[in-house]
Amino acid sequence: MNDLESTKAKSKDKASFEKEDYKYGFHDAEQFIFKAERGLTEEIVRNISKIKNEPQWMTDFRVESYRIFLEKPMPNWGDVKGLNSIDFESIYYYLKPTGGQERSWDDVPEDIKNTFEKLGIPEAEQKFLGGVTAQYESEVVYHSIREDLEKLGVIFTDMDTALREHSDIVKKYFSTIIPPSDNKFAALNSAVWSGGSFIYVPPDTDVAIPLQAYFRINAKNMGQFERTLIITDKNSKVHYIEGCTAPTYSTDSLHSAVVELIAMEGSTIRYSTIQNWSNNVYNLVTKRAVAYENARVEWVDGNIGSKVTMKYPAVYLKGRGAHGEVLSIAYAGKGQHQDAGAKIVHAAPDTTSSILSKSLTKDGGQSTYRGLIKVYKDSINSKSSVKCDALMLDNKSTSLTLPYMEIEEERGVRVQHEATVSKVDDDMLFFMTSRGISEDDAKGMVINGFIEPFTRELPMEYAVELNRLIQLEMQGAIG
Amino acid sequence: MAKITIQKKIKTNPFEELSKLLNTPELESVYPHRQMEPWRRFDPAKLLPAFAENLQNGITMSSVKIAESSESGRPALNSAAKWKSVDEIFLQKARNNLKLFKKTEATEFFENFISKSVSDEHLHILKLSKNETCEQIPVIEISPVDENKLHVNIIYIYCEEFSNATINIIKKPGSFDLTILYIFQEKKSRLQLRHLDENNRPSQGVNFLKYHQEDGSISKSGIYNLCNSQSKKVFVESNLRENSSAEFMGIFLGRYSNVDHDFLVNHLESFSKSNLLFKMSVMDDSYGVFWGNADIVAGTRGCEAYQQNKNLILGNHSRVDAIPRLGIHTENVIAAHGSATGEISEEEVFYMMSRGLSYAEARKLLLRGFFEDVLRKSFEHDVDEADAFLERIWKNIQNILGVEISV
Repeated sequence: MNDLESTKAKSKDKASFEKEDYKYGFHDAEQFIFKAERGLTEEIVRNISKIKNEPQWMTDFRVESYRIFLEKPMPNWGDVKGLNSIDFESIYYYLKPTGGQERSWDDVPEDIKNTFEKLGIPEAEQKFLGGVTAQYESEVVYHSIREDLEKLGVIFTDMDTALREHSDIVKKYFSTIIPPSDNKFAALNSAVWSGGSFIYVPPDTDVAIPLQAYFRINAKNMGQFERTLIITDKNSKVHYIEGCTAPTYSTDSLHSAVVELIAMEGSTIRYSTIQNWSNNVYNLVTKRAVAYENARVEWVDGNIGSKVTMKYPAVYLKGRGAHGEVLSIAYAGKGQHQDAGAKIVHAAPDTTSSILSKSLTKDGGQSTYRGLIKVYKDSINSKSSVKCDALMLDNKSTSLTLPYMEIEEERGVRVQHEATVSKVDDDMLFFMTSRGISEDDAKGMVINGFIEPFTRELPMEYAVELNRLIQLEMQGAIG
Repeated sequence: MAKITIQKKIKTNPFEELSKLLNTPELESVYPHRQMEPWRRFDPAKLLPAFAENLQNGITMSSVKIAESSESGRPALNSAAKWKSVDEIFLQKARNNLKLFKKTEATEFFENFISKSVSDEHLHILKLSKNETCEQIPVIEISPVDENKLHVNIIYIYCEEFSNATINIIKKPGSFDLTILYIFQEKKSRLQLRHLDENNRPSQGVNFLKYHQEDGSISKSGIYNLCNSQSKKVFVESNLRENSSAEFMGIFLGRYSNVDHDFLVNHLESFSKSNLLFKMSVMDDSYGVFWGNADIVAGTRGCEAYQQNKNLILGNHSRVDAIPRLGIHTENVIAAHGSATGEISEEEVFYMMSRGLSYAEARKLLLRGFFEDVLRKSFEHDVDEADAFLERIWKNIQNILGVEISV
């Protein structure tokens, strides 16, 4: 009997320890003013549209997308087992937490405000952000933008507001980059989307300070389907950051976003993601950008959390001289599968692109790089360079590299790819330990050095945070 | 030129048994499950119309001749002494060995077809005895008998312990070929194989090269696919046991051709090494595909896998796909791949032109350098003996390009 009790106590200890590992695993009591039923029917889709008071074209779009969602098959590649275990019937597709959206943190309900305070959002906003959107479950609960930016004509708002207030722009560009028929999850998102950010930067405007959105899932079995649309007009510039967390539950949640970026002539968009969902979230995201003449799109993509991530940020280079860049890092720990990568399509002359992908695997995690470089006929003088590095921290983990290169043009085209897979170099460890650094610290330094090309591209505060996160995740391996 | 034909007839058909055995679950334990990439797999259906058309005319086998490499001026020696005739014990062993070659999902249809439809006469066995070194370089010529029929060729090359040989293979195409080369290397054996696909007429087909290497064996293969008006799938699979090493050096030169090259190296045990260098050059409506896959199984250590792929697009509606993949399931490895695609560098052409060469000459020289790199590596140790074979390769390259590029 005593034995049994002590084992129980131990397992309890273990459980609490595991919770501590993921810093953002706490959750609040569910509170909402509207919660749709479990599962998905056409009625629910229509209801969401009705609650949001949307124009008819959007309702039709949602219903049509729902029909496509039912027809589309599940992808037969990637984490097939994980995908097939998603129970679409047990998910809540819409949950409205508060009555409205606030412009001051003081007006946000206490619980939700506390949550975001724990995540450090209001503090970060004061220090170095130009605007913040905080999304809680299905709706944006807090939103603000600095006045000077607003005066310049920069529109930074949540998608639902944008649909009401800037319907002409939204209707023109919405779903033009990623149609619902693109894939099953894009169709699902199109049917039940709620929240997300809308950014429009007028011509010749440089938004010097980053704009941020923060996404939080709180309820069990919740599905979050935000939809983001960013348009930068001629010669403008913007940096957008998103962060994600969720509580640790034993049942799975689903996050399926659609992100569309449109970079007009000469403009620059940088989109940084620090994805740190808890290990019960399926993160199935479709991200795509179109870059016109001399435009520049950069995806900076950090995948630390989630159970299964399948995300391949894409750039379609449609104008002469456009540039696309994807910089990504993936960490796959126990039970995680990071199926990430990049997709770049050269469809115009003189276009350039570069991909740098780094992955860390540990405790039986699996990381996959899946990428595509496509050079269409007549995209002369296109240059592309891809580099994938994988660092493996034990012999239970798996690292797959699956790059695809399809080249139809030869005039001036250069496409390069290289990849390496290795473990932490023993020579390096020896060198450092012989100089009095403990082995654990040395390993930590090697790992920080490995991800440095990525952290260098993040704003300072995020780089520090990411380094700390990786250290935290690595604790088992490093000490 | 002395030619000795060896066609061994055996009583039973090991492939029939093989096809039954291949589906047993015990094989799963021999080969751990490998994640296939179903994203954009080669579709054998592309070849099916031609396949069916030829099948209607009946199945036949190509003539397989073994000739000494006498072209280099050396006397033709009795190679039959090296390639021993087969007996029952050997057959039993061969059957067991063949179980180790697993069917590949992507080409299952053709492999099934072969294992079901071939009879005894379609099987050629070449055997190199224990401890023996074959000093001469035999040339195996595979040529079609009736061009309208479906040609099925199965060759089983078996190298016993500590044997050492170099074999050159020249394959001339029928209008549709199904060729499987099984290469089984016992412990510490060394085999150098050069496989020239000499293609001067329109044809289609599926070629398999399947290697199984036991502990400490070494293989070095040159795969030269010189295609004019062809549509083919070339599948090279290698299974490496402890401490064995495999080196593949390949060329694909395509004109009006669509060829899909699929390399798969399974590192099944520790300290196995593989090195793959593949160059493709396409022109005139050609489409070349390179799939490389190095798979390092969990629980191994010290494995090394390298892949290098370089592609040159020479123009006129040509396309190249490069998919070099790595599947690493353990930590203590060195694995790397590199791939580059481009055209002939104008800077290099300019450099040569500034030193007095004409534009055309400079381009020819660069093209020659592109191929020579691979050929030199695969003919490293026996340049003298291989002269004739090498010359033949160059001749083929020139035929396809339509220009003389040799110096």
